[in-house]
Amino acid sequence: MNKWRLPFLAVLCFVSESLFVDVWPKGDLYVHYFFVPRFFLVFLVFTAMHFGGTRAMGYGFIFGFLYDCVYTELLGVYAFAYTLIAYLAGKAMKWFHQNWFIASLLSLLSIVLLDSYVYGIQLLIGRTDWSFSVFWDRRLWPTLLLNVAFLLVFSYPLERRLAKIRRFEQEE
Amino acid sequence: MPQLFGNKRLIFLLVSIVILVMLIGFSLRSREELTWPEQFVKDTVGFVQLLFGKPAQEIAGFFENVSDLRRTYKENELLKARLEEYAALETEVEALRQENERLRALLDKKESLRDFVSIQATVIGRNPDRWRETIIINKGEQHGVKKDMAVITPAGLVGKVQHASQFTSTVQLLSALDQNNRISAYIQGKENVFGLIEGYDEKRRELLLGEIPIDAKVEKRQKVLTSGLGGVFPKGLPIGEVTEVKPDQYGLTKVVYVKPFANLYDIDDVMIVKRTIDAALQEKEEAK
Repeated sequence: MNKWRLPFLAVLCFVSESLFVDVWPKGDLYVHYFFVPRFFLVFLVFTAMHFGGTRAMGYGFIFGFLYDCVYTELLGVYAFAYTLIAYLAGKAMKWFHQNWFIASLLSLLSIVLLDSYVYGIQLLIGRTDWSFSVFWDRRLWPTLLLNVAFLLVFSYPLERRLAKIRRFEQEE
Repeated sequence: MPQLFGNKRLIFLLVSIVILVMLIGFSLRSREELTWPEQFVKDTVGFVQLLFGKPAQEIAGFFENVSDLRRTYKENELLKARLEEYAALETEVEALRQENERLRALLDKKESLRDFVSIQATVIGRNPDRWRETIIINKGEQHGVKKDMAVITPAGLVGKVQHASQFTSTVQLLSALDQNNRISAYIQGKENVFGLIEGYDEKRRELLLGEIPIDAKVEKRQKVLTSGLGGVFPKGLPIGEVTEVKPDQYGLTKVVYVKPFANLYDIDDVMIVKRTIDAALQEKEEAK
C-alpha cells in the first residue's frame, strides 16, 4: 500500500495539468495568454528533495514520456527535460538546506528552464514564429504567475505530504 | 563548486541528446497512424483522465451554471424574438427537403456527399502546454473514428481528427491548422467559390481561406462551408462567415478572412462526423 502513495501523487499532479486547462474559463485571457500549469514539475523538484535525484529521474522519465505521447505527440522532448531537471534538482538539493522555500524557488527556476527549452524546440522545428519577447510576454510571465499561485497554496501541503510518505516508507 | 556531470554522465547526456533529436525527427514525419505502444499509452491515460475528469468537470459545470443563470433573462427575450423566424424557416426547410428527396428519387441518386452520421464524444483532456491546440476525446477507432474525420459542435466545424487510438482520439482544432492539414471549403453564393482553409490568424481570431481565384466575387457575410472534396469531410458543414477579402501577397489569388461560427476554445462536447457515402462505396466495392 505504502509504495503506491508516491506514484498516486505523481499521477494526480500529471492529470491535474490537463484538467486544469480544461476547466479554466475560456475567455480572452485564455486566448491571449498561455497559462501553462507545471504542477508535475513542481512535484518533481520536491520529490528530488525528499527522495533524491535518482528516484526523481525515474519519475521524470516515465511521466515525461507520457506527456510526450499523450499531449504533444513529439516524442522525447519532455522525457529528456524532466529527467535532466530531476537530476539537476537532486544535485542542487545537496548544496542547499532541505527546505520547502528553496524547493519552491528551484521549481520556479526549472519552469523557466523548461519553458524556454520547449520554446527553443518549437522554434527549431518551425512550429512557432514567436520572437523571444512575445514568448516572454504571452507565455513565460503568465505561466510563472500561475505556478507561483499554485506554489503559494500547495507547496507547504505538498511538502508535508512528501515528508509523510517518506516516513511511511522508512518505517517499512 | 562540485562537478555537475562526471565523465560517464557527460557521455550519457550526449547520447541522450542524440536520441532526443532522432525521436523528434521520428515524430515529425507525417504519420498515418500512431505506433501501438503510443496508442496503448494514450488510451490508458485517457481512462485515468476520465476518472479524475468527471468530478472536476461537474464542479466547474456548477459554477458555469450559476453564471449562466444571470444571463438567462436577456437570452430568453432574444430567443423569443427569433422563435417566429424559426417557425417560418422550418416549414421552408421541410418543403425543400421533400423536394430534394423527390428529385433524387427521380435521378435514382441515393447517396450524396452531404449525408453523414455523427458520433457523440466528450472532451476528456487538453494539451496543457498549448503549443499546439489539441483536445483529447473519449471515442476512438473502436467507435468508428478514423484519422482526418471532421469534428463539429452544433455551431459548426471545430477541427479534425489528428490521430485515432482504440478508445480515445486527438483532435486538432482549427486554430492549430498548419500547411499540411488544409481543409477544402467553398463560399456559398449564386456561384459557389471554392478554396482551401490554410491557416489561422491568431490576432484576428479568424481563419484564412486561400486559393480563391482573383476574379471571384466574394462579399462580406457570405457563408463558408466544407466542400466535401478530397478527404473524408462531408459537404456542407458550416465553418464561418466572410469578414474581409484581400488579394494575397503575390496578387494572383485572393485571401478571405473567415470568422468561425463555433467557439474554437470553449469546447466540451463534440460530434465526429462520418460521411455515409464512403461506407456505401465500400460496400459496393466489396460486393464486386
